[in-house]
Amino acid sequence: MKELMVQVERAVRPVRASSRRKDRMREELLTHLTGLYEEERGRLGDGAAALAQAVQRFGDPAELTRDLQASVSREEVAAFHFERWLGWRAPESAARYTLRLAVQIYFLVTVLSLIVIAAVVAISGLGVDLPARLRLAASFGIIASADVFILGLLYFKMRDRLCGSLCVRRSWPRAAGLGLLAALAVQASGVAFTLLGISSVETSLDLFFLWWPGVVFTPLWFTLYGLTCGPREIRHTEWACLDIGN
Amino acid sequence: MEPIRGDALRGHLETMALATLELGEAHGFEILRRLDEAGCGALRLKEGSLYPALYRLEKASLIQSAWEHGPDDRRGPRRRIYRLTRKGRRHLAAGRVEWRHFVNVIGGILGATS
Repeated sequence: MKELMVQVERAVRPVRASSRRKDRMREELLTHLTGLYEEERGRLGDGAAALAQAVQRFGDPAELTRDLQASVSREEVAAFHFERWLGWRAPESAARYTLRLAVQIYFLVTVLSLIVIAAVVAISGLGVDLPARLRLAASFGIIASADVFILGLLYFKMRDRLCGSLCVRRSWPRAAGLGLLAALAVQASGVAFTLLGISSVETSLDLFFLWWPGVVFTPLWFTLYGLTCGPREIRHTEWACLDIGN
Repeated sequence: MEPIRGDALRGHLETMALATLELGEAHGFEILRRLDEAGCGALRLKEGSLYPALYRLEKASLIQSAWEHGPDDRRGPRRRIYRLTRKGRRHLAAGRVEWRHFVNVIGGILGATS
């Protein structure tokens, strides 16, 4: 019942804790509030009156938020901040989220690569291969962030096809098609990396099969992860996008 | 007799929850039912406030919890079952001693002990 979910979400959404922790709170509080509602409906016989009584018995959401926050450990608060930085933020779309993540990954990889190259230069001095190293690092940054965007987007679409969500119907053939696209994306990014980083078509063809473990593993991993964690992720999205008013 | 409301219960809820779990494992709804029964209906608690207390107890390893494995056709969200740990039992025993001492001292001052 949506009204009950809204009551629970008013208390849980402001809590600074990991999404996993908050999902547990949501489910548990919703179970309780549903029980209260059913009890009151049995007693009063009227849905609206039962809802008002159940909400009254449940308590003020703002007060509950404070109590819930006090029960959260420091590690959970740290996880909340980490998720806000790298995780999905309601109500952004999958495309927007993966694009944001790709940009963040690009900057992260660039900074790390520059640190590594600076360390190598500090130890070995400026060598003739410095431009080559810089080029390799730049290609890695570009390909890694492109992969995050494309594969991330394909994962979310595949997960929705595997598990079914609010607006997407479950379809195994479409999920398999998306898995095939993911495999092709891995192969293409492998070839693109060698072409950009080494600039040699010959080496790129020599290394063609090097990417095959990734080609096979990626769709399998998406399927397994989507089937195991997908329902929880979809449920979390439903909660986080729920309109709770002001 | 006036009902005992949430503010007066603050600080005691966790020990009371431990005491109800001494009777056996239970989910939140059942814990509140046991509290209500033991308090002869005199406790007036905002029911949502039980869960933060349970989370604090769990964080302190005084209780453990797990999702209930109900029948597949069960409607609605799942329930989480709580049970007392050995540390929780020791904590409850210490809480009882502390409470008796509190009642003796404050009761003596108020002239309310026999």
